[in-house]
Amino acid sequence: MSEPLLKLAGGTVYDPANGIDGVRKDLYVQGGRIVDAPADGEAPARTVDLDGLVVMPGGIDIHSHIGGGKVNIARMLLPENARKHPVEATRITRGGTAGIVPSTFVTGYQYAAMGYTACFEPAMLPANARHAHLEMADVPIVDSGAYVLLGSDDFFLRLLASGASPEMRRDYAAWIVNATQSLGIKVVNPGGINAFKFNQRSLDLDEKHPFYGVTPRDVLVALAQAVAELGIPHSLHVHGCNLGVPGNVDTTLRTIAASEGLPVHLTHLQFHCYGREGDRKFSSGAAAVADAVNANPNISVDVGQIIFGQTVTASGDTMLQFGARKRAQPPKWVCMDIECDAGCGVVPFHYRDRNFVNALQWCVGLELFLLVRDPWRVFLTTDHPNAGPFSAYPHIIRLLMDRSYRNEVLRTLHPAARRHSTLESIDREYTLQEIAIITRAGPARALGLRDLGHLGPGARADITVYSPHRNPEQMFAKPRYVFKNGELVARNGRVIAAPAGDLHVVRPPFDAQIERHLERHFRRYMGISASRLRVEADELLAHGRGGIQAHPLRT
Amino acid sequence: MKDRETIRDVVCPFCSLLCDDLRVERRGRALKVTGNTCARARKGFERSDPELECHVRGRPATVEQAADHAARLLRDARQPLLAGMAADVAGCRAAAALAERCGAIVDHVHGEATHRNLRVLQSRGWFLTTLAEVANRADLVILVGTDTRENYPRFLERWAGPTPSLARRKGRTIFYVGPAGARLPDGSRSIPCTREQVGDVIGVLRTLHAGREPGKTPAWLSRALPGLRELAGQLRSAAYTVFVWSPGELDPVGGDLVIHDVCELVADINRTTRAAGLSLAGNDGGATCQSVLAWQYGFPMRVGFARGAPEYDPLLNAAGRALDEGGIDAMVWLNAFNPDLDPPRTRAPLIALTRPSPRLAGEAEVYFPVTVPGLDHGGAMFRTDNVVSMPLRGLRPPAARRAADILEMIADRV
Repeated sequence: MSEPLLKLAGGTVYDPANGIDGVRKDLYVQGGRIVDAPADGEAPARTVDLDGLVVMPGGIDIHSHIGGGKVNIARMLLPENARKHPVEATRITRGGTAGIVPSTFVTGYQYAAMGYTACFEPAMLPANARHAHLEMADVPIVDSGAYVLLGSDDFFLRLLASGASPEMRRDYAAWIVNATQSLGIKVVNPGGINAFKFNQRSLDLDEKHPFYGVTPRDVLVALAQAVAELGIPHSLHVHGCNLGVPGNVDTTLRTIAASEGLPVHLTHLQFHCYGREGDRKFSSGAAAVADAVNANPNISVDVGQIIFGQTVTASGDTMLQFGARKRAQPPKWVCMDIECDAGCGVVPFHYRDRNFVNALQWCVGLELFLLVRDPWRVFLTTDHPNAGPFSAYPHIIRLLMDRSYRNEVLRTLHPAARRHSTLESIDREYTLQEIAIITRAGPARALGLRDLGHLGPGARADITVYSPHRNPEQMFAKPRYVFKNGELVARNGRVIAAPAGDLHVVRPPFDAQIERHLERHFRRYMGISASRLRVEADELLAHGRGGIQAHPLRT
Repeated sequence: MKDRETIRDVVCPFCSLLCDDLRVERRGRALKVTGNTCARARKGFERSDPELECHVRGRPATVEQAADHAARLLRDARQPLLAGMAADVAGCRAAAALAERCGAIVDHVHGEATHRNLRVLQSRGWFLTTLAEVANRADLVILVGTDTRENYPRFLERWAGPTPSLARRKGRTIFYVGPAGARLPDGSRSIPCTREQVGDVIGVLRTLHAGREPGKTPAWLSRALPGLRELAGQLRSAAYTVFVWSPGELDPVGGDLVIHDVCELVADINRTTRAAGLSLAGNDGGATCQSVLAWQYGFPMRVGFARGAPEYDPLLNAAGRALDEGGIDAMVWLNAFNPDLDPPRTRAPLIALTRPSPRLAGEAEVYFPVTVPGLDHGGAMFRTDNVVSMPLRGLRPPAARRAADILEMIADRV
């Protein structure tokens, strides 16, 4: 091999996917990948001494709104926030703005500086796919990918309502995943975004759509089946009905039951675990939901942990966001009905620790982290920027690893929240290995990224090296070294190189007949050719995308 | 490439509807639109582009010489301005990178009209919709001071006509509020008023919709009251109302207030039934420019890099004001679509990148002819709704360079 060999010597390695839990171990990197130790004592071209340092795979964010229409609307809506956080260009980096919705270049730098090397946009509309991809191509360093949003589009609802065969629904889903260069499929308020266009203001799991007559359960099951049958590695990514509504814990439990063993990922679960108990008619349903997750191995979740402070919520769930407009802070908001496809709602929000509801939301998130027993099925997210910015991850890691700190913070919150939550009585503290699972190994496995999220031979050399510190927040905020494909991209929390990241996709097969149906539908109703949805690899490479990685399907 | 051919399903970049069904005949480099066309498309596709060299001070130059000269001007300038910004995504990306490199202010040729929208977005937000939603759901369309004939010629035909509807609506009513003489489909209703009076009409409509009676109204408005009462009733009974406005056609003084009032009314209606706004804006790459700048820097057009990091000041960074009062000492004019759109007048040296224009080649300090996205090369542009972006493709052999390539050459030299 002609590529120079890099030796990362003597670090303490946490590599859960390979069963390595805090073992002192040398790693070797060549051609951007981890390789076996050279057999015949080939001398490395370069050695980095990691003695006493903690080594993990690069972080992977399974759910972060980093690109596409609603994120860009949030930027245009809130220039006053961006103005407070200007970022100047350097010799290596471009300028932009930080704040609650960072500009694209800054997003990439912030993630990389924090030791993350991949992040995934969870709600890409087919109609907006080209935009989302162009935007993500401008997020440097980190790899990315997207889950395409289906289930409130008129084409799919018509298929369901007309009793079209499961094969046809599957072909449609597969065509969309291919055309829009997606890694998975997401459903948001199944059918509900569409129902809102017919003036329906809420739609529970078994309530019929006012026009198509199908229920959210029908949509959910049909899409989960399609994902499973197509062999798409990532489960159907589900933002369920009734987000944020007190009492929605029942909907969530019924949604878990409705999955009937099909692989389903429940995203930002914190927003879906609210009871109606107590004198304030708002309580935590986290324990019941965690029990159901523990009992159903087909379910994985990410949390969407609340972070106190100013943020902006950007969601495809127009129905719920229109309702939330009254709580907008500052008092301005955007909603859109989008292209017989879906919608979006952008509502700025300020989570306050002295507000009972917000404080209890904070507790609910942490309860979920601590009560879901299998770390391989729960992932660290803030649903960036909806519950808080991704830059808060080191803080959340401290809350998870340090019970006394957690309870110290809890005691500063609205006192009723403490009384309405079991959080204070939970003893569990996450280990470093468990943190490595919920922030890299678990997301990689859940997404089917076989060469990411671990440090075995053949893995991409996306490696983060931390200086141990008794305060995990400090340890995780500014990693000593971050390597992307073996290249040192950040040191002590500063970006020192900014290569382009790759795009991760899957390419499930479909019967080409579906294109005829789609083209007829598009020319008749949508006014454009269905082929315009197709985002070509060349377009993305021409716009600075590093490369496109197509991952194998499950067989 | 064959000498002549018929090309179907061509995307038209000459207004922000980005119609994708044109039929174009090509003979050599000459294009003729023979199907699904409009006056703007004909003008845009059928203009004969002369083969033109780069120019420095009115004399032919190589592209390298011209780029060197442009870079020198920008390097030496205290406050450059990058205006026009009429380009595709690639052109806007390259222009933004150049602006950041040389500390320029960036504004779009339609920045003033766009700003009317952005003021409303940034002060109260809004509820908008997209073209296919209008076509399939709207049973009531209200054109607010906006005659689509000139700037969005096929809007009514393609998106508000008697199209088949997914939501099985029974027909649609079109109301127009604005100056007489607008092109409207048969059966449309009209509330005639001057451009300056549109806001008054919307104000009264809000009052009536809220179930209140307007106070004393001037005679012209009193005459319109029966029609407005009927319209207010329709706002309550319609399943999905869409208000359409084009910010550039509204009153230059109070246009943003009209948009603000329309957005308030849309929010009011949405408490009980469904409504949304649709802004027709962003021609000449305006929607594209706005989206690209917002994602790259966090701010739409009218951003400046004088102090390094991006600064958004939509008043100070307006091209006109910057030229009048901002000490602009070099101007880049980027315009890949319509060379009849003139750059703003300035005594500062002009670096022009336009679709071939012999006149500008003679007038500018540095001149680069550039290709047209969607005619000479592929790319992507954003539609008026800022949601859908359309892929463009080249139809003929290019006779110049892409704006993006020239902008990169200049940036590399600054």
